[in-house]
Amino acid sequence: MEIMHGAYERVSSVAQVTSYIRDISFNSSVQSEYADLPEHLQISYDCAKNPWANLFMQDFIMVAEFSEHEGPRPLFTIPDDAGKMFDQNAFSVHVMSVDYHAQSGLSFSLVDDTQLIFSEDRENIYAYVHHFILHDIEARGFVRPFCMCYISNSKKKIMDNLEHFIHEFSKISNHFKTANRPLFLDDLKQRIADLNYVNGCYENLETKNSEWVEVSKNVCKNFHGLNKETVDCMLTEANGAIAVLKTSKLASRKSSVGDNEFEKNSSDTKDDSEMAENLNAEQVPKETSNAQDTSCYQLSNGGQIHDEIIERLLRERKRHLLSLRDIHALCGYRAVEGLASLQKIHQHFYQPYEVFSIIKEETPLLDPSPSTFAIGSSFVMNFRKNIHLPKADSTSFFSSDPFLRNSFESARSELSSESFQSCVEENESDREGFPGERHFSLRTPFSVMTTKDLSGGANFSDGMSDRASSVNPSVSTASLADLSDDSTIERSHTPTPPFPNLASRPHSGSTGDLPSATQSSSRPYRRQLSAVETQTSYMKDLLKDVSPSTKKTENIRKDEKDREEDAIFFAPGSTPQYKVIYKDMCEVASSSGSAGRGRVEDRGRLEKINLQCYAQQLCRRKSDGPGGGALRVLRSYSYLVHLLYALLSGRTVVILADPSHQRNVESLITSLWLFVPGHCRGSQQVVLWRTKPFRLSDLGRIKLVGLAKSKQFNLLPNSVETYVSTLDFESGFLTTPAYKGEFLNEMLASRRCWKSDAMFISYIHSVFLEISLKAFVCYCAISLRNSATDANLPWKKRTLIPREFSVEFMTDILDALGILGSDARIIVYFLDLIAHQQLAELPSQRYLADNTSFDSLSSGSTTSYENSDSCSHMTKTRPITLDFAQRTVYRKSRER
Amino acid sequence: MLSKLWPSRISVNKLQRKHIEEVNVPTIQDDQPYNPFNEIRVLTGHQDIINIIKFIDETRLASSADDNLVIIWDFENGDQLHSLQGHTRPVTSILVHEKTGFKHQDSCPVLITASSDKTIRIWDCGDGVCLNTIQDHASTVKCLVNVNAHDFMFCSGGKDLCLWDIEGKLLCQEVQPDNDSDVHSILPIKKDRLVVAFSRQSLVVYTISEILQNKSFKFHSRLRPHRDDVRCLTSVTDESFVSASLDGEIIVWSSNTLQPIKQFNEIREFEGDSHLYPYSVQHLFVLDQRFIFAAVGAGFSIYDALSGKCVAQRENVHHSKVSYIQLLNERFMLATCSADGTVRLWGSTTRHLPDEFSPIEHFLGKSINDITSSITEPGLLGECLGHSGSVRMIADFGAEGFASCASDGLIILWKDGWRERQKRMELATSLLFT
Repeated sequence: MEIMHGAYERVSSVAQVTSYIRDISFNSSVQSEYADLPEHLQISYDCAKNPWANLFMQDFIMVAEFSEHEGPRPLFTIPDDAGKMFDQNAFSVHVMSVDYHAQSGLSFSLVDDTQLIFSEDRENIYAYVHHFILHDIEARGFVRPFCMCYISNSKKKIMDNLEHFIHEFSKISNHFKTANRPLFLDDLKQRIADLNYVNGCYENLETKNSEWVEVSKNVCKNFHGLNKETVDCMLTEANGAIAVLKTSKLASRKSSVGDNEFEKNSSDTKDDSEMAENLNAEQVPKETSNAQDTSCYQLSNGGQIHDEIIERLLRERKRHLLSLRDIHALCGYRAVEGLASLQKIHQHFYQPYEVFSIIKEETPLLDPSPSTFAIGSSFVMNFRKNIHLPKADSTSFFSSDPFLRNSFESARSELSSESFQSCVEENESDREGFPGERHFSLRTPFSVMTTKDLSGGANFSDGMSDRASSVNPSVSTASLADLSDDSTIERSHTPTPPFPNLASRPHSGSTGDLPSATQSSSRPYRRQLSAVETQTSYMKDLLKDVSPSTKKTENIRKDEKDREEDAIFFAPGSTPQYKVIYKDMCEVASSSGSAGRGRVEDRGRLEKINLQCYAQQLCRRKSDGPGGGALRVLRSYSYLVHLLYALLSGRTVVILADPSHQRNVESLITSLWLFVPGHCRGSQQVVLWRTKPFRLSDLGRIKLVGLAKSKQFNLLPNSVETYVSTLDFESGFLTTPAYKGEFLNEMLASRRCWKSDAMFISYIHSVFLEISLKAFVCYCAISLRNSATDANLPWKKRTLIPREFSVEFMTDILDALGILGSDARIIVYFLDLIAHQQLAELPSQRYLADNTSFDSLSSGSTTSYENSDSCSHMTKTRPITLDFAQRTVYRKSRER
Repeated sequence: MLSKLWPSRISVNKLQRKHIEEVNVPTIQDDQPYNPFNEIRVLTGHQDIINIIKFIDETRLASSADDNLVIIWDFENGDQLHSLQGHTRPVTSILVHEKTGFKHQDSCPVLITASSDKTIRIWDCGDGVCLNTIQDHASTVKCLVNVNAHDFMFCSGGKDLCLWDIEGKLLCQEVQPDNDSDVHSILPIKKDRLVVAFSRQSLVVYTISEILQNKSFKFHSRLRPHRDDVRCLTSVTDESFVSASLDGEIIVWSSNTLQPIKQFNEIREFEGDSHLYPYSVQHLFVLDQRFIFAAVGAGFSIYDALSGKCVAQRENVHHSKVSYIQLLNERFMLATCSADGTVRLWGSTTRHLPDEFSPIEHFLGKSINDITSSITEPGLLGECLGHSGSVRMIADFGAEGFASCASDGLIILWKDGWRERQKRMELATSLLFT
């Protein structure tokens, strides 16, 4: 054993050098510089030529390994074509040259991952490096060191999000490791069986067992250099490894009950438990992976089994000649999942630091989700009242399920202690209490979206997609210089108090669409904890920057409100708080116990929202998301203002075009998408191309659609055509109600001043915010008026405010806000959207059924209320608002 | 399935439209400020032409279509509450019975459906369970009518005439071997009489006689014939009833003497140029036991049964014949459905009368004294365009709006957008500041 490890180290040091030299030889530009090879065996990375000296680059993930043949070498990058300017070989040599796992000594042992922050200030290169080890029966000492590096130009990004980097990468390494371990164990078992077989042969020789001597002799001839000593040595090694695996497994199982949370796949859990059983029984495994009983191989002169064993063992002896197995062979089918997760991590973290921090700041504003307001798939603002109530935020990050409410009390107290660790522990202990029913989710809701994502994959043209369109937060207007010039985003004004108490939610801004939602607890918290401390203190700093008045009010109010909130939050029938839950929610939910299963699924369906921050929209390189190319479209045609009005006032816009223009129409629709308000969960508001007839029932759902012209069929029946605005793509005729207002004219007045889409879009978002704020004021005003009426009566018994008063009231508010003409319709539509969203969420709260003031929701279906279907009725058939406004025909006209 | 039925219908409509478009059909020119129904819910559940839509109670409606299904919907939110499956042929008539009678159900209304599969089924509206299936009918059942409100009995017609009690027990039966047309309407009048309409010119009156608890039908008389087949039959007051026929003639009869009291709309050349009967009466209803609203051809007329005068009339309100008319109670608008796919709303645009005035006064915008002085022309208040096929029937839900069904297989709930928004806003904003 010692010999082996010694050899390993020696080889590795040579390999390191060899690898480097080989790399240089590939690099013709530096070849001359390093012509004299021996000199550079002592090269250090502080030398003049920096290996990763490079120019502007985008973040990428590199996975490298320490090959026992070649030394450190890069395996692949995410994205595939990333890091071309980057000397990956040199970098991998650098990060892998130190054996970070050497602490374990020479015998086989399991080592924890190590994490490093790598910084090269001069070159502006920073990396988060995560080392982990997989086990390979064919590898020297059974170890295959790997590392995942997240390489970026932004130090801040890595430092600020260290906790998340650690967290997410640990999850992935755990994923690989858990996938690798059973395979390795199988291999070990087989190895032991093989060796026992060989031993048997030798024993037969020694004991001169007459029956087998001849056979064994023949056999031993084939063993070549495989003498008994070596075989014993290998046996000890393998047994040692199994023992280590066994103890570690038991220990980790004891320490983390929630471990299987990570392993979503139930079959995996089964594997584990089987494995544990085997180990517990102290049985030397008898079965090989292909289910052959190897413990009693029959000796023979040759035969298949014999050959296989010999081949396997000789393979071990000749491993320096064989290429190493790749990660797919090491982890089986689950490697793919792990790699996909890596891609998701990249997708999340690659965004510029500014975008990233905006997302982080705005994430808290997404709660409660029903009152979030989005335009063009980007969050604009949240129509909520308690934006500065810290507890509201912290509570809402737990699931709002009523049956979880019991645990809120304890969870809250832990949260207030501002310690991430204790929070996690709390949850784990809870989980023991309610196995399978606790879902602890730590995520930000943003995901990077392309047109494809939003429209549900390739299925553009057809109806419902499960993916909802999206919402996004930007409470602030950003006056944005062009991001591609790498300038920073400034927040020009923050209309609502922007920071809910961030300190109380250290998890805020955790990664969005990262692989699994749940905590994986098999990792020690040592590092995480320190990262959390940094994180928390950073947030405290952030808070200092918040306008003093906000902070002050917050403090004053905090005490007053504490008690009040307790009452609100834990009394049945109080204001519901919602949590945005993501795609994975469904998976987690479906693995939960059968109790309450229907409800959980229901919630999963209802609360699934894809989100996007407008900042993400700005930094997107390709113009394939909502708003891409908007400037080009609007700059050319002034008459499109009427079209924008139609979109913003909720009128469906149909773009009729010949199928040959499908691509052009799709790009036009992508541009106009920017102006489609609402996030209309569970349905698809924008359809890029449709070849089926547009039906009346589509009106409520689809707000912008490209429709193929057809000679045989009228795809747009008269009964629908009356209520939509149409743009004929070929002739340019636009049939839509006229816009008579100010918002849009003002917005478009400056369209020629903007140089890029990003700048234009950010400006437009500021206008959207302004309009939304006016809508918010209206909303509050209506709310104040309504609260004075008989709110406790059931709907049937309430008297609606007479239409005349109501209209007058509305007019007064709108006048006061300076909203005139067509703009009023836009505001009213915004209010409608918010009201719809909020009510759509209502029925999922079971206790509301008992509340008389919401009687109208349940009336009439009281008998069937148990039926879970009726709980979601608000979302089943959406009411469609018909716009009777007279349409005018506009001709395409380029502006002066 | 629809396409099978389309060709013939379209050809008729086209001809008709061609004929009528020569005259001036009013069109909506403005933003429809008088039309409150700008919020709809589209109910998709039927796979075929929907023929009947029936008000059950404030929140529910029933619909039946050629796909042999009867569906109970929630009017409030458009939920499909129950789908009543059982009939093997389309349902021809639906009767809602409010009274208690069934042992295990106390308060919930029951739905009685008659079908061309020669059965009558009784359903529980609450849970959608079929309580009883009556298979004693020998022929297609065409109509159902509630004969006695106190001691519930219902009568069904087709080739034969039957009387049932609520449990589905056959009380008596009258077979009509000599009559080749089916009973399509039955009207119970005083003195235990039944007026029965066939697709014939004359109405027939039967008496239900009761001897030793055994009921039987007894032929009473045949009334003076209309000039063409009788299409509609309904009661006006306890003392009178009204019938209308394909030629457009509307006759008010005395329930006592069974003689005509008043006659309206006598047209000499009733068949029209292409035998389309342009003045035929498709539907009529009576308001305040006095005013007869009739869908006449492509227009509508309102007659006063007291004075015998026509009080309001509009011809050519649709591009096709008006198939159904209904006065929307809370809004005093007349809704007319037509094969052209629209529901149009008619009423007074000029005067808004105080609440204490009667519906007809609100509708016509005149006080009762002025009504008979001249023929009013109600104005077009709005056009509810949504269906892509012939609109068959509507059901009024008062302040909540109305529901319409059509041959395109859709039911549309037309709601007051302002009211709905108001409700939603109140509920939603109450979440903000609870």
